[in-house]
Amino acid sequence: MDLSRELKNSLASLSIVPGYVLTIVLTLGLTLGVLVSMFNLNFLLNFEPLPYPNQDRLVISNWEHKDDGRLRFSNAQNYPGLREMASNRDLFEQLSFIKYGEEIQQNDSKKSKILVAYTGPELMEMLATPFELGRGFQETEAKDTNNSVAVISHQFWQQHFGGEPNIIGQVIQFKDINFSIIGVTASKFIEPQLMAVGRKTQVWVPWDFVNETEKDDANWGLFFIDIFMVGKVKLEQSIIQAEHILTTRINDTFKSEVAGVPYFDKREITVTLPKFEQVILGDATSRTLMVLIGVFVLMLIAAVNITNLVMARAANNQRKFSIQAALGARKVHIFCNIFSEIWLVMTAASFLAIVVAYISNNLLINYTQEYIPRVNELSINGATLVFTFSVAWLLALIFAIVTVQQIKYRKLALALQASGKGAGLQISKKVRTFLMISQVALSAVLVTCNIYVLSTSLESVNKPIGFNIQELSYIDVDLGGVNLSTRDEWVSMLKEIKSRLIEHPAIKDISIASNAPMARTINMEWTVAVTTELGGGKKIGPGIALIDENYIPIIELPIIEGRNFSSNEAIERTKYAVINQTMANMIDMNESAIGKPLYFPRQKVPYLVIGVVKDMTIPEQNDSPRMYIPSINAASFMLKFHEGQAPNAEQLNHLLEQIHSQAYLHDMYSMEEIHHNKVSLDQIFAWCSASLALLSLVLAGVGIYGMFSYTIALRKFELGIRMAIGATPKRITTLILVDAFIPVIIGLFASVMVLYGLYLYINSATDYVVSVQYKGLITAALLILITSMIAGVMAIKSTISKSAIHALNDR
Amino acid sequence: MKKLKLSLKNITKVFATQEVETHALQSLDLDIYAGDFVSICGPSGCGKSTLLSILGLLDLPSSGTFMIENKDVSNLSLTEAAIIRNEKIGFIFQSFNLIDELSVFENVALPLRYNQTALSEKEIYDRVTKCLARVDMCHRIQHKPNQLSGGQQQRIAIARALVGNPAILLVDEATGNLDAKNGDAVMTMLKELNNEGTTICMVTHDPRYADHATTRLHLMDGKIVADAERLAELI
Repeated sequence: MDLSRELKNSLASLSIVPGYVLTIVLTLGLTLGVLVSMFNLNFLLNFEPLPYPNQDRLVISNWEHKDDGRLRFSNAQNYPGLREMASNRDLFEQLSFIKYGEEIQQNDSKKSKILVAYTGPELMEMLATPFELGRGFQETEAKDTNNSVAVISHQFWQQHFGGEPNIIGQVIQFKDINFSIIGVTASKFIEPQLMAVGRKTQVWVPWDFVNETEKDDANWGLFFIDIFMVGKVKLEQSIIQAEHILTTRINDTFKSEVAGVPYFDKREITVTLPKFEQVILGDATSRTLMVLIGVFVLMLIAAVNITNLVMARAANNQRKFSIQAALGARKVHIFCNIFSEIWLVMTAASFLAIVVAYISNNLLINYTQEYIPRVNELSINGATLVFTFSVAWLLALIFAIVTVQQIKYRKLALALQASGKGAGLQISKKVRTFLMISQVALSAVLVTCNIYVLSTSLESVNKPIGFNIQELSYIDVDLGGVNLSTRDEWVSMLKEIKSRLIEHPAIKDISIASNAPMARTINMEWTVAVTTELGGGKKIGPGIALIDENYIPIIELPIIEGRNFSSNEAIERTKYAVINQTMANMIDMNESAIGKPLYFPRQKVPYLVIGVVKDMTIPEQNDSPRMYIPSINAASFMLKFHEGQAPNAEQLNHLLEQIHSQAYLHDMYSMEEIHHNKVSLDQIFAWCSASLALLSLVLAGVGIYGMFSYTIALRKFELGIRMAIGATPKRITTLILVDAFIPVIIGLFASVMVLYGLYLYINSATDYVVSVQYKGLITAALLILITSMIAGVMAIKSTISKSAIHALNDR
Repeated sequence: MKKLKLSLKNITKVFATQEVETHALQSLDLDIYAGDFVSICGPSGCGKSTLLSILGLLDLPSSGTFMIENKDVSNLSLTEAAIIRNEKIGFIFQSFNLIDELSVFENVALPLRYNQTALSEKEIYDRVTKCLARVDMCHRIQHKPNQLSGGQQQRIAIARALVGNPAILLVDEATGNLDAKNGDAVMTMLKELNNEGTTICMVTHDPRYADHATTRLHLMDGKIVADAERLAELI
């Protein structure tokens, strides 16, 4: 058998059916392309090692806080604890502290915010950080050297310094310190995103420049979520053993240090040392795997369509096969003929798939960096190509085998003797029914799953958050350079800023508030342990906000019981509290919380509850207790702007400079922007699931249309007879639809079985909990039924829209 | 005075492709009266089947007027044509055209099921068995067509054509696929039906069977070139 001649013949044969080729190439190219992209991502996350030497020994510290054995929270550590852990040097080959923060660049006219990491030379060694220019930290920048130098990222260098070649030695100023730039990381350097997915450090400075009050603090009862110890565990050291040793040391010290504080009575701290890989990936792999499965099912739907097309083409080619059989072609020759044709088409589809995967990868890199770890490392590589062509060629083989199975070789050889009539090849009714059932079942499963994801995502996006975010912004003002020695001076300064800001025509209202209702990543509000009785009672750990009387009205948070603070109460710092509904329920489910006392640790005078406000439902956050205390304390404000008049950071900075030359805008973000960021992942999910559902429906529709067309072609003469004896177009349409109804119903029933299996599996074997959504199931079933009906009507239209004689002449 | 059943006036049928136009029927006039037995003869490609398709509303004429029982049916919609086909016309095809998946009973009952007036199952059963008795096929009521001989299949097809009490029976080479014995039996049956008052229009190329007709038409190149009866009247 001459392979090249076979391929040449197939090419010639395909050239006269461009529609057939185009349909398969587009259908498979698009679906396989998306599958390849998802494979790429899953392969990267599950099999590609992190780009650091000895990455399997790189760990980061994490503390799990448990009360009575129940996990309260994790990822909160303290400075004395870090020092304690670091004293166990024998466990680690190298170790370093790291603190992530945000600072305002003071020697920048725009006073832009920069993402900073405070760390030591060991971290850069552990990561084998490559440099574009200069160098990383060395012993001269190690702990207690107080050498104010900085390393900047390649991206920061390009964006803020325009890639200036003479950057080394230039100064970057924040926290009133001039940091001399000593290095620029190479463009190929990939920072391990240990704090949050998508957070890219712009400037690294030595650990010595963490606020002294923080880093030298010896308070074991104060925790921070942005500090860690990273280390390379010694080769001979087991990580579990190291965790055990550190847990014992930290727990013992912690208990002795906080002895006598009722809040920490039953607190246990467990130190874990997850590998970098675990921290960076989080639960992303299970999510991406779900997407991979979804896309795989989509490709299966496409594959069913293509099976139908390939078999229909083989049926059309029956005369050619008959002649070949009559001339002595064996079954293997017929197989090769079919395989070479479909192999060519699938190879063409593979090239399109690679282009689609490339586009899809770029979309992922551009739009999902904040949600999917390591996504910026995606590329078309050897594994991608192997996967693409393997899948395409395997499918080609399957299509060819399935098609050849349908050919009755013995009858084929006799076909010519019967003048080419009646003895040829047809797709059997059983196969057609099976294809229809699988098409419907796969589509229904995929559409139902996507409707589920879509509805939960939309629910999250559209869920009212409990307060008005319109035209509402939070600003944090840096008054570090202003000489304010007494509290009265501090309060006067804050009131001065407030009164000057309210004069701005764009500002409608203003409130002094220690923190915003929503923050960028994790809400940085303070959490304090309060009790309902002095030294006892119920223990509650609410988030605390120090606010003035304007805060609750500005954010339009509904008061459901009691009252708000007065202006004087805020100035006087009266021991009153407004709490949220969750906290009120924690105090007493049955009685009103108004008038109830709340004790802070080491304080004998309680805060009295004077009001209860509605809970806020912040995306990504569970209902948590909140306590609002009247106090003019923080140099941060909530601003309500007139519609469409919100000034930018530069304008506000200019205004602050007019109030005081040393007042800078440290941070500013709008609540709408934060909310948008928080729900954007859900929005992406909503878009993706809606697109996937639509694509599945379209593919299912095309496939079912193909199946109907083929069936109608086979039955055309019979339909002609029916028309001749008086069947109206409506009757013929009903007949076709009713005949297809049974496989559609079986397909839907099969999909319910599959979905039930999925439901049981997800709820029992994974961390996810899914609920049964009958609405989604019914909607999917209706959509599939409607799609099938539309496909059926479209397929029969060409027959019923012509005179009966056309169908009768079709024999 | 005989009642006019079908009337064709100046009927033409043109099959056009991008390159060529074929005139299958040219300015054809034809009247068929109640109780007529018309045979249409002619060589292959003369337009016999096209004429029968137009008479049976399976196809539309390119121009001209076609009346069935004084109702203009030249430009009916597909649905209206189907209804008239069901109520007024009975078809008998050369290749029987029974539906293999359906039993003899269901094949014969099919026109009744397509009727605009919903008939009861009992009524359908009565009418089907009556027609099957008429063609002497009651004993095969539950058989499938492929279990029957050619002659039996054609008798079933006749029963199906009769079951709706059509105004006219259109017969397309009904004996073409049958041996002489079965062919004769079918012709005898048609003659009997005609004697009982059924109007029949039959296409055949067999002059032996054409002679059974009361009106014998000859078609040549889409035109009626001879009407034997009218010719005799003139003489």
